[in-house]
Amino acid sequence: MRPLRLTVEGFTCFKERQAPLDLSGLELFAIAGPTGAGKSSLLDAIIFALYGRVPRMRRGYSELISLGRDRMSVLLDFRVGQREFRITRTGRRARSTEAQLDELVDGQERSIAGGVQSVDNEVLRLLGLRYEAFTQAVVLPQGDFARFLKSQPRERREILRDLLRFQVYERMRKNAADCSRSLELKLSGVRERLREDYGEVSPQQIEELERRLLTLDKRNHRASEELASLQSKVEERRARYQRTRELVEKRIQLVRLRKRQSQIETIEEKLAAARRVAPLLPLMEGAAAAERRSEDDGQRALAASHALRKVRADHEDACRRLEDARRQGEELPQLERRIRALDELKGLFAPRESAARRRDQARARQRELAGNAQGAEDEEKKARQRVELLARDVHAASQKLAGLQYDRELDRRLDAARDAASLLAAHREAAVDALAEAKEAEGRVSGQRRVVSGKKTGVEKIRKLLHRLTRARQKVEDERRKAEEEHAAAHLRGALERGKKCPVCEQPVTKLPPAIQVALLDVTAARLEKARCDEDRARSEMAREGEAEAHAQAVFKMAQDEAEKAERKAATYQETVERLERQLREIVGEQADDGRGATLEVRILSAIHRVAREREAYEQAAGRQDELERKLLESQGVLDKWSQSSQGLRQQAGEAQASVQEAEDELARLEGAIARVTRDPDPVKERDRLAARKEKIEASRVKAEEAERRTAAEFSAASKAQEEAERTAQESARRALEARTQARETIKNAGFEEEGAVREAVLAGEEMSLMENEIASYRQERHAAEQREAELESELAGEEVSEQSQGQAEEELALRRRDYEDGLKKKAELEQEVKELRRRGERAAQLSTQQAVLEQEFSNYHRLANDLRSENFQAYLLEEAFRELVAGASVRLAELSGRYTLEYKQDAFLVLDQDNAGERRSADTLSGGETFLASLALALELSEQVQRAAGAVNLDSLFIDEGFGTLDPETLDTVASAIESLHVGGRMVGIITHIPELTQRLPACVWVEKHAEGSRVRQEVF
Amino acid sequence: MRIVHTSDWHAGRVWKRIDRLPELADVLEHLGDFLESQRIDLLLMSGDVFDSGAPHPTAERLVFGFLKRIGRAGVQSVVIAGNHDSPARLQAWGTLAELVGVQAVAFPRRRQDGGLIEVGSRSGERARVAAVPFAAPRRLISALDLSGEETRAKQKYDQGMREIIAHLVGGFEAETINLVMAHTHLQGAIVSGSERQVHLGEEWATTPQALPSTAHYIALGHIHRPQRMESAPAPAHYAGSPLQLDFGEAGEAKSFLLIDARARQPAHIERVPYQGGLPLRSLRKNLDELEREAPRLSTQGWLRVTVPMSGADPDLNSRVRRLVPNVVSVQIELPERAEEDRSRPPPGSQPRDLYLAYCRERHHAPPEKELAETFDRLLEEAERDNAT
Repeated sequence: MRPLRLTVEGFTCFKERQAPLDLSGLELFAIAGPTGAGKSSLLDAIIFALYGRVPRMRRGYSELISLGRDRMSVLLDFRVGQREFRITRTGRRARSTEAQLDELVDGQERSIAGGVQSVDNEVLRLLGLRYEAFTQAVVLPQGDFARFLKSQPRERREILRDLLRFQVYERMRKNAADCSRSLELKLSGVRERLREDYGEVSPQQIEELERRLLTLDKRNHRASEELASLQSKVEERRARYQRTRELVEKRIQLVRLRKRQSQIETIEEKLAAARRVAPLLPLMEGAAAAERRSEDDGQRALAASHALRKVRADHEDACRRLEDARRQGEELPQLERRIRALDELKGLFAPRESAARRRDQARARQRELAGNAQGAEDEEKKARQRVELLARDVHAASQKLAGLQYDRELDRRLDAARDAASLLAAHREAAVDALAEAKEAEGRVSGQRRVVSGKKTGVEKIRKLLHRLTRARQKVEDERRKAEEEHAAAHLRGALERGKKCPVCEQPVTKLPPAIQVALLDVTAARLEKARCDEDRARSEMAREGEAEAHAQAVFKMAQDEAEKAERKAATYQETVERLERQLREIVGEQADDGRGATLEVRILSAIHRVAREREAYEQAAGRQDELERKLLESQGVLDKWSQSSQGLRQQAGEAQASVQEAEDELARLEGAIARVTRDPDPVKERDRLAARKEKIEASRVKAEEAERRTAAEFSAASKAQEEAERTAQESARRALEARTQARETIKNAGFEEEGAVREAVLAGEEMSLMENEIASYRQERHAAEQREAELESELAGEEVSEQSQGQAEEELALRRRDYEDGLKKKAELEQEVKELRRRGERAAQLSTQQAVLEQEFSNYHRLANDLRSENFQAYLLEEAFRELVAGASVRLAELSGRYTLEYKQDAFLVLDQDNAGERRSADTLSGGETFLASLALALELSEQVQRAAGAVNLDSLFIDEGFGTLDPETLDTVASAIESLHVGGRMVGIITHIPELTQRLPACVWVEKHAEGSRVRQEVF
Repeated sequence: MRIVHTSDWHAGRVWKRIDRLPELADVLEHLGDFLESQRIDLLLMSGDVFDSGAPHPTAERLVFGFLKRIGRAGVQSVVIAGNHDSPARLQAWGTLAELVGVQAVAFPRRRQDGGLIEVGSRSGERARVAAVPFAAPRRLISALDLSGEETRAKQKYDQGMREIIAHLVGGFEAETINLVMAHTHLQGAIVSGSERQVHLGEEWATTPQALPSTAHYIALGHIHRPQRMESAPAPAHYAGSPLQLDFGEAGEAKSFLLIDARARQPAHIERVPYQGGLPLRSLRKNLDELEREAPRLSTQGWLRVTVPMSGADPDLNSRVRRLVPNVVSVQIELPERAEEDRSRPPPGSQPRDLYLAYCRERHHAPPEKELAETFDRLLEEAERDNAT
């Protein structure tokens, strides 16, 4: 699943409709913006579009609708594999949501599902991920990033199961179980049938039946032969019976034909009368035709006399017209004279027109030149004014330049001194610092000296104390010795006896000394101990003080050295300053050192600045003067150009005026010549008009003469035709009368009274041939019937077969045939029985083969149904997947952090710190950065593994919503580098962050901006 | 003109919870002394001044103090941004640092906009520095905008580098000392492994042919290992980092370059070792040896110790660190566990292979041919059902 375009409206902080956010071109990008702008809401929108709910939603979707809005809509285009889809979800307050899923094919939407329930199901099918898995492996919402790392073992298993498409194995298991059940049923069915239906089929039974079949077959063969001989007899008899029936028929037919004989004779008479009439008809028709022709010729003679009358009237009319035309002809000579005069003018027209053209051209040119000349004069005036103005400016500039003060020599010297002055300044600063340091060091030396002398008196004091304490201790020791002696003496005294030897002096004791009073030995011992203690303390005190003194001495010595060094350094710097000052003075000379300021270099630098300002002002003024002078020169040039041009133009205008005058004179001369002949403004047209009139008169006379000639000829032709017609009419009438008389005589001779009887006897040709045919066919039919009757009588020769005897023979034949067919049927039945028995034998064999196959299949499915159970193969796969996941994630984590690896023990993740002797830490005790790295490693490996697993969901996008705000710079750098390396493999990776350093390191960014009227998104590619 | 080339200070780097700033302070103190005593005219800093875009103020104080010190002493410097520097930030402080003779180039620029820098020496020589800071490929092209064509933005990084360098060195003259500075991964350079991995490799590599033969010296930054690039058409060196930044650099002798250059003559180039900074070492010692040698080891820089042990010991880390405080990484080495004899299906195996493996493991025998075929058939059916 890869999102392509997202459009939201009224969704949380996106109040207004957003322009579609186009993610299609992005690979690695940040989603950035201030807190509360709605960065996370973008991810929420994607999740909502797909699943209709979001992680942070508590009380139903209406809390997702923007404040003050009633409606929200989210539209997401996304790609799964090669297919693109569009999902739309909308909702209103206090109503349920609506959803629509379309596939996009060539930019066209094709609906796939409508309604929340079916869209949800379809999305689940397309993505193959439930909501929980989606929010673990694709969009990692805020605060949920580490969920996989820290979630309950069961939850983790469920997610992994989902991602790795275990539903396929589950479905396989179900199918296997179904198959195994149905196979079991089938198998028991097969066993049952074998036992019950095919138990009785045996080979002996088949043999018995075959024997019976053979006997039956023989009997059938005999019956068939008998039947054949009977059949041939019956057939011969059947032919004779047929002939007998035909003979009877023929006899009946002959009786009917004899009855028709008289009818045929009448027809024959009618036919003979018709044949006699035929030669009379042409005569009657010839007479009628001659009468019709005579009538026509009479008509034609009448028409010819009418035509003659009309032609005569035409001729008289033509004679009158000719007279008129001759009268008009008298006008002609005068017309011809006038035409000749006009023709003589023709040579003058062309010159007149060219003169007029020349005059117009000259006039236009003169006007144009006058205009140009005026323009040039105006420009000249303007140029003159500009020249005067610039001359004044140049004067003013040169006066200003003269007033400026600038010493070029001084400038050069100061410029040479610039670097030396800077160097001097730096060194003087350093010298001052060094002097201050030297003073400070001196101060430290005297302070340290005081410390040393203080330490010395301290040591002296302790030495005296120690001396005193030593003496006191010695005294106590003496006392103790004495006390010990006394104790010993007292002890000895107790042992003395008079007369015995003294143990000390070995003299006999003569007299017992008095008893000795001794001090307590304990007291002296305690005192001695205290004195020793005091002395030791003082001695160690003394040693410490001595050391301190030595140390102070050393410090003092160091401070002295440092002070000396500082002093030397200060002195060196001072010398350098003085040397540089001398050099500087040499360079600048005394006169340059006149500025204000405490030190030489400050004065010089200020002088440099002052002179630089002066130089700048001077150069600027000089530059301005040069510029003005250049402009003045330019302007003078312009002025000259314009005055020359205006003079030239004036002269040309004068010349043009002269040529106008010349053309006008020429024109007047030509027009005078023309006016002497005619007043007509257009003599050419007048001439044409006159010529046309002349032609018309001539033409009308010719036409009139021609008409007169034509009518005269017509008149003579018409009178000849009229006479001819009259003659023809009279001849025709005579011929008609003759023909009629001849026809009447001939009819009478043929035996008919009049023409009407002749017409009645006439028969049409068709009718006659019909009659002839009828007669012929009657004769033929009768002849054929008589012949056939004779034939049949001779063939039968008296042996005629009756209908009854024939019926009996046929019945016997049918009986025999039925017997034979019964025999055949019986044989077929027996054969069928044998075949069936054989088939059953084969089927039984087949069934036992099938049984073996089913048993094998059943055992396979049964075992698979068991293997595929969740606690067997699925558990094994899950274990392998987990092992692989942890191993891969561990490698990734080591790469990302350079320090940590991952382990999975007792249903929990452990992070091993390889820098700290493999110290194990549970996932719950990791810091923010460590948690992020571990989660990232897991998420990446998870999606990698899902990609790898055959048929698993395709995860080609990853969105991380994590603050990163709490990371220290070192971890942030590690995290940023890890994120930068994410876009490998064409995966889309979106990171939500408000940390600018992270945003800057990514190649693209979607900014979410906060506005009063709601948030907005904007895209930026670096 | 006397020039010093340095790079990759990574000021403010905190490495394995150790602040390396005091070491860098030491190095810069010595470098400052060197620059002053040798009367150096120009310092070239080829990028990665700071370790991160938002360095700690103490790191900034150290770097700015150093620049002020050498500026006062008359040493001018040119600084370009590296991939670790925030260019915006560098541009900001660079503006002020001009007061002490520092010219900072944060973004790739055209010649006339400050991409080519002119520097004068005390003795009046002039140097021209073509400065190419680090930039992402897209940014590189769009900032340069030599052609203005949209499609150019998609071309390779190398093409961008070629174009920008060719453009900048167009401003070199015969009378000047011509220098190039670039923060980039030149093809063929030997990396230390402690550079940001993301900005190494094919996409980010510049080919040596992109470098000009007209330069007196090419000052490269980005790779931490000091080295001369023999494949370049002019003398080109990575100065390398002054500190050993990670164990990948352990044992490297860090050094900067001293260049004596005159116009129209080949430059004289010399490597000078850095002073200061602690070495990095990897050791393998058992506990007894550590106890015995603790006093000696305590003075040997930052250590990574691999301790062979017979079993895990939760106290090992703290014990070693108590004994030798300068250990930054304690690695435990346990005896190799016997490899499990299970033959596992390789990652990404097909369901059928997984099932074969399962059968071998659970039933101790591979499935018969018919069984495997039945499995295939079921799988095919289930996947078809899933698709519809």
